[in-house]
Amino acid sequence: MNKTAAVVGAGISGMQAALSLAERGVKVYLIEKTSSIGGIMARLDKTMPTLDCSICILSPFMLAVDRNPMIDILTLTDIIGAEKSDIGYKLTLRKRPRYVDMDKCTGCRDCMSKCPKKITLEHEEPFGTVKAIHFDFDQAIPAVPYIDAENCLMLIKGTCGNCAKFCDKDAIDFEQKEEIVPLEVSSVILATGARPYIPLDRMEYGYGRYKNVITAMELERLLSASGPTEGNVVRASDGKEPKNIAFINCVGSRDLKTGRGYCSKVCCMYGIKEALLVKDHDPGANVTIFYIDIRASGKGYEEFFQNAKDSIRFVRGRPGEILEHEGNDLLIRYENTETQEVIEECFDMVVLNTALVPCEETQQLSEMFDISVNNYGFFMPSKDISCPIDTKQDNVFVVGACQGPNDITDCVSQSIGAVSKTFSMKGDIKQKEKRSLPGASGKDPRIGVFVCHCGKNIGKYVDVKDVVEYAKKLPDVVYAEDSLFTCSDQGQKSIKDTIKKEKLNRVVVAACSPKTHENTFQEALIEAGLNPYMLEMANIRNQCSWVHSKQYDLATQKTKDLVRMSVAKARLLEPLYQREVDVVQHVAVIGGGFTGMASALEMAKNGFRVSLIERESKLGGKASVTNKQKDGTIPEELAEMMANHLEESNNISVFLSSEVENVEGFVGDFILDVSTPNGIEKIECGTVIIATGFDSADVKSSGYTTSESVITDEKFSSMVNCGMLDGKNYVFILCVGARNEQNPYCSKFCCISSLNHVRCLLEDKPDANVTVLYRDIRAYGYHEDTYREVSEKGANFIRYSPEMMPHIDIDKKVVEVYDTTSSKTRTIEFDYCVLERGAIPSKGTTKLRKLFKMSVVSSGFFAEAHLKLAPLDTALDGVFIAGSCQYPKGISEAITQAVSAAGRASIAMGGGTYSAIPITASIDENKCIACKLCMDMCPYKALQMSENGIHMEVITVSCKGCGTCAAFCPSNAITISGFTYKQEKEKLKAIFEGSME
Amino acid sequence: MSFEPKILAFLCNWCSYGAADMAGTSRLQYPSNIRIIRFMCSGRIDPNFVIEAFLRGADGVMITGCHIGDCHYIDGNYKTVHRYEFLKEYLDTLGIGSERLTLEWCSAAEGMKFSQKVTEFTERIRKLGPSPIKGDEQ
Ligand code: FES
Repeated sequence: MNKTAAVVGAGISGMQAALSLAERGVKVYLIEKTSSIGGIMARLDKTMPTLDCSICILSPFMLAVDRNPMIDILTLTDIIGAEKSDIGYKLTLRKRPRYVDMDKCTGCRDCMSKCPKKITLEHEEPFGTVKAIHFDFDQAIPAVPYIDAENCLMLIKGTCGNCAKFCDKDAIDFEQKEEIVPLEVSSVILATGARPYIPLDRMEYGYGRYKNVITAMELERLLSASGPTEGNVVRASDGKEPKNIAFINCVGSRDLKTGRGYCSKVCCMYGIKEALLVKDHDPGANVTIFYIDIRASGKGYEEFFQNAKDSIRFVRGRPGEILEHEGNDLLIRYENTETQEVIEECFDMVVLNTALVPCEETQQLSEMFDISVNNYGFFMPSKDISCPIDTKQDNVFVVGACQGPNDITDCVSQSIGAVSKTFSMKGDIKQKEKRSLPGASGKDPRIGVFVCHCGKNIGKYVDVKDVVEYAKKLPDVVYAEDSLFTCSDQGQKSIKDTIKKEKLNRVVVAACSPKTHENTFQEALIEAGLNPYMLEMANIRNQCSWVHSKQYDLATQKTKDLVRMSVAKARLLEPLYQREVDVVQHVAVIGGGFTGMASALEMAKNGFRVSLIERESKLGGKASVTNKQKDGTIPEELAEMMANHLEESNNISVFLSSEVENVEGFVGDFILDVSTPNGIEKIECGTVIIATGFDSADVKSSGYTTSESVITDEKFSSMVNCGMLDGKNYVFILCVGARNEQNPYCSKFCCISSLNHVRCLLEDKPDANVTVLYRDIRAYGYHEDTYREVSEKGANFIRYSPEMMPHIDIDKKVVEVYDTTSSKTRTIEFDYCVLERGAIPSKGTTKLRKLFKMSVVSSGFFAEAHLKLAPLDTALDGVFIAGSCQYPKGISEAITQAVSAAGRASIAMGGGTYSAIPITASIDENKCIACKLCMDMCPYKALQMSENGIHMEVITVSCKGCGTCAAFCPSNAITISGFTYKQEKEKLKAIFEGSME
Repeated sequence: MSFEPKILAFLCNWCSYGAADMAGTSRLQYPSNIRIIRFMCSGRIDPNFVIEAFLRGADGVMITGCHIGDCHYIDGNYKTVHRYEFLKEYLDTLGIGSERLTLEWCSAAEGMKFSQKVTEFTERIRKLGPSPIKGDEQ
């Protein structure tokens, strides 16, 4: 029987899991309790720290799920029973009625305008209403509304029925009944997520009583262009724009009173993001954030936080209470812990940055499947470190925020990893279906222009309607329209319908960057029977509305120019066809730490040959300088076990003391020159996984030197591991060589490993005197428990400021530190002073970056294809990154990424071929004068003399389409498909045709 | 009315187009005079395109690519450097002036650099005034 899987929950984690499964040819049932897929991310305005428009990056994802034939989406569905069976599980599903026939509905929304009954949606009260028949959010998928049975007049009283009367398609069906259906699957992936905490039990903040106290999720909906106020931030009490706004962090997190001792990990950052967005909407507004520690521990987060300081006031202190004041204003009483003053301050709006808490169904599902939950009510994976997605049941996995607060990046990694683990046999990876692309249709150009508002991202800064009218007048344009989100299901549907109705044979989409959205729109063209290369995009957002947002008229004018340029090129577009490239069934994994070893093992399990390349003489990376983990795992033992597995595998060759010296080739066929102790070895491989980890920062950059008693974190760890530690007084200094001028980023894992050092020390020597000097304790997620545990066991925490770095007197063995909380200088004696260093990119990373020509972010760690949605892919096809070379991280996160990267690589290699973009050179034999200049210029040796010796010819498999040859050809004989001389010249001409002034 | 230069930029698809996208996501403001044409690699930029741009009425042309050593097609941008030197001489010969052409390297993470370079170049051309060959055409 074919393998099947149920994925429960269709947020980002569930959707990613479903897509990864489908890529492997597994039939997926994606079960979602609400009426649409998308989850929390679909309801966000922007994502941090890049301020990407959330729905814009999610829409293509949702559509990919929707159009995948291997995925069945079951909305309004709950699991009410589960029983083990021979193949896996027999589930019982309850499907609640939508009251709208999904096959008949066209999503025209006529019903919604006729429905008399207004209701409010979660997180949108009291700002706006929808109708009883509605979408949960504008870009919902399936794009079919549903009727809220509890509020529908027809369903409760038998009156009304307007929607049915006005529906042309007869799609309303009040007779639909709840159905109970069985479903048997071989595995279950639980991705039920978390939900924002509703702070009703934090009485002191008055949520629910004071109109102008709202949650961050409510603000997120206000900020969203498709939210209840169409992107306007207003007060519930009077509809006025607030001018003085306070954000309060950690509401419901790090709070034992409400039983939630954990840190919710994402709130510090979403708080800063929302604060910045409020500022962006109204530059005159004053914004204050009250915080305990700012936990900006993730890639780009610290930089984001530092930049925010320019426009936002940060106050350290947890407000004690909020009182309503005249005219619904709010009085906050707080102690500023930096100045020890108790202050009362008035604000006109307060936003509570609330925790993430488990979803209601978590408990029920845990009982149904007999899997564990932790003391906070989240699912608990069976083994924390080495497999953070397994449960105690063989074929049940837990991914994403249902395990505890997680950001989008980690959710995506976990989901891909879980799928890789479930279906790891090579046989599971279905032969990729070869699709033949449609050809040309119609001779004369008939162009449709689709202009996107991108919510407010374009619409606010450009007169989109005017652009549409302008586009209509351009030559060969037969149709033009605008839409709120062209990338949404509705927007795409409109493109497809119009292609058919207007017999379009070319499409111009004026929206965002082709780098992110070209594929999405190309799919729409294919579905409507057009060749995907008949699409031209005008990047009116990244190149116009966002960068000229204070010049409405000029931006509108430029948008018209950009559209005109695209139309000019579109008129000359020609169909192109994909090329298939063979993929060598061998992967190179570079780096032999935990990440590299885990990737190699996973790839071998998937049936591929693996070469593991390690520059040191031993596998295991930093295992020997890492202390015992909280769950009892001893890193050295784990590394040894993994190394043994590697040795046992027939499919893995390990190269120690070896380094990559040269790289040639492209996805499918890379050739690496590896220097080994036995000379240069040539490794031919289809894909590459890079796992080069991190190095530690130099203590000197913080002005320290080491000695017998002033030791690095690694020295400390190995001393603990060898039981060599003597002495009673210990001082730990955090952020050494981190968050300073040289390395302005936060290395994320060092707070965590420092806390672990303290924990191990206190376990060993319960009466040691421990002082931790810190700037912010970034104990995100469940690490907060460790923070609390060591504090309770007596570790003393002192906050220092980077302007006054603690001073170490090596001879006297004392540290002098200015305590910012008590405003006093303290002198602390030590036997050992441990310098907890930040991370820097490893030597391997720096070297490989050059060899592969990969991008790095400002901190020097590898740049991923997309920080949120493609954290393991890189801009280079066939090259994947995992672990700390992407950004410093702990063992468990690194192993998750390792498994996920292996999953991505397996999919790229599965099926044996890879389809490359069809941009290549071709030669006009009649024009060619056989001068061979192109042959000399081509970096890929893709040109050769024809057999008869009178003209050149292109070796298409070797050609990468860079076009360098064409630029040199003296007789204009070379054409680069997709970027022909004529096409680009027309585009260039068009710039100067309109009125650019 | 004050002179608003027309500026054309050729970007390679990888690093420099990424930089322009990033300038967008980071909301970095720069003058709206620039129009962008994308190629796969800066090595594709045929001198003809540059000359054509000036003939059609551009006041300045900007070429951007990946940093040296980072070109996604091994060494396309080395060829760009050579061509740039040649083009500058040629522009002087034609009387257009080599200062109306510029070459910049931007990595995909350098949105800031991209917006700065566009701003600087626009200001430079604004000071130089309209391209000397523009009158011929109109
Ligand atoms: S790809 Fe950017 S310069 Fe060649």
